Amino acid sequence: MTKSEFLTELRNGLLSCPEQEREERITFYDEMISDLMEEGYSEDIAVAKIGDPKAIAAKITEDIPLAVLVKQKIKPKRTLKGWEILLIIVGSPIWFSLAIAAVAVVFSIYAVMWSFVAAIYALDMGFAVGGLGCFIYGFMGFRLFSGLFWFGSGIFAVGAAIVLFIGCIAFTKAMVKLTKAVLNGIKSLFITRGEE
Amino acid sequence: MDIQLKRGLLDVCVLAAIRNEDSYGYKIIKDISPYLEMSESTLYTILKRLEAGKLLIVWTAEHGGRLRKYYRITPGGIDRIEEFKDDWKEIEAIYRFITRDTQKLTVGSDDEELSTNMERQ
Repeated sequence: MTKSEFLTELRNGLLSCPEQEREERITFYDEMISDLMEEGYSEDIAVAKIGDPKAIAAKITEDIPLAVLVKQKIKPKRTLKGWEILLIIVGSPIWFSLAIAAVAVVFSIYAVMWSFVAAIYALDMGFAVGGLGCFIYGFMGFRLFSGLFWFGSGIFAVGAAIVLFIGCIAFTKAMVKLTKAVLNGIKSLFITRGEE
Repeated sequence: MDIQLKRGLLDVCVLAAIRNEDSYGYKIIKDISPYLEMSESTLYTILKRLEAGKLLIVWTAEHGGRLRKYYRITPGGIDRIEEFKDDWKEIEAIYRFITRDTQKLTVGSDDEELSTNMERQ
């Protein structure tokens, strides 16, 4: 790959980047490759030493904050014509409410899922407290058979609480993972990709 | 090396690379490479951060018919290196604490040995 091919691919990969930062990065890599070549490496090897421009661009884009990505995505490529601005304003009751609805849907799905988490924790707590109660009552009852019954129930409930707790932790971890995946998904909506 | 630990060292390494004389991107990476592996994008991010923190300044000069950016350390940058040296003394103390603990765990298998170990310290 030649230096200019590398820089073109890098530029295409960095379309989500604000223009000034994009140009600065390109200048930086341009200088790096030139310095490697000055050191005696051939153009091909110098470029290979830097790495895959697509991967580099992807890594850089990943670290751009979501707010910057959105700003870059919605920034018009040219000045808007009067009628376009008018259309945006007139259409605002529609697109604005749709946007709010979309956010609300995502938020409510989240709320439901997290309430489920809260519910299983509450159930677990119920088992634990109830189990301990049975346990103590089994001793205080002073009757052999009913005492044994409560004692057994207590052991069962505490056991269930422990098993369920392991499930609770696994579920919470899965939720945290899912949250990250959803956030990354939202972020990727705003990443501008160049034509191949 | 642990990533978190490395991250803290990178900024100081870059400052150390330009401490004695102004340097440029490729040379900084080359000078640091025997000690720490650093990718070009990592260096870019660090240089930006150090510039924003006024720990270095950037100037451009012509070199072989093209432009090259040079980085010069500021008094603030030198202070940062000195701070690191002070931090290092604390890290050494922590290191002694950490290795003392492992000694106790491996050597002190019975109580007698444990107590003599503790006396020694």
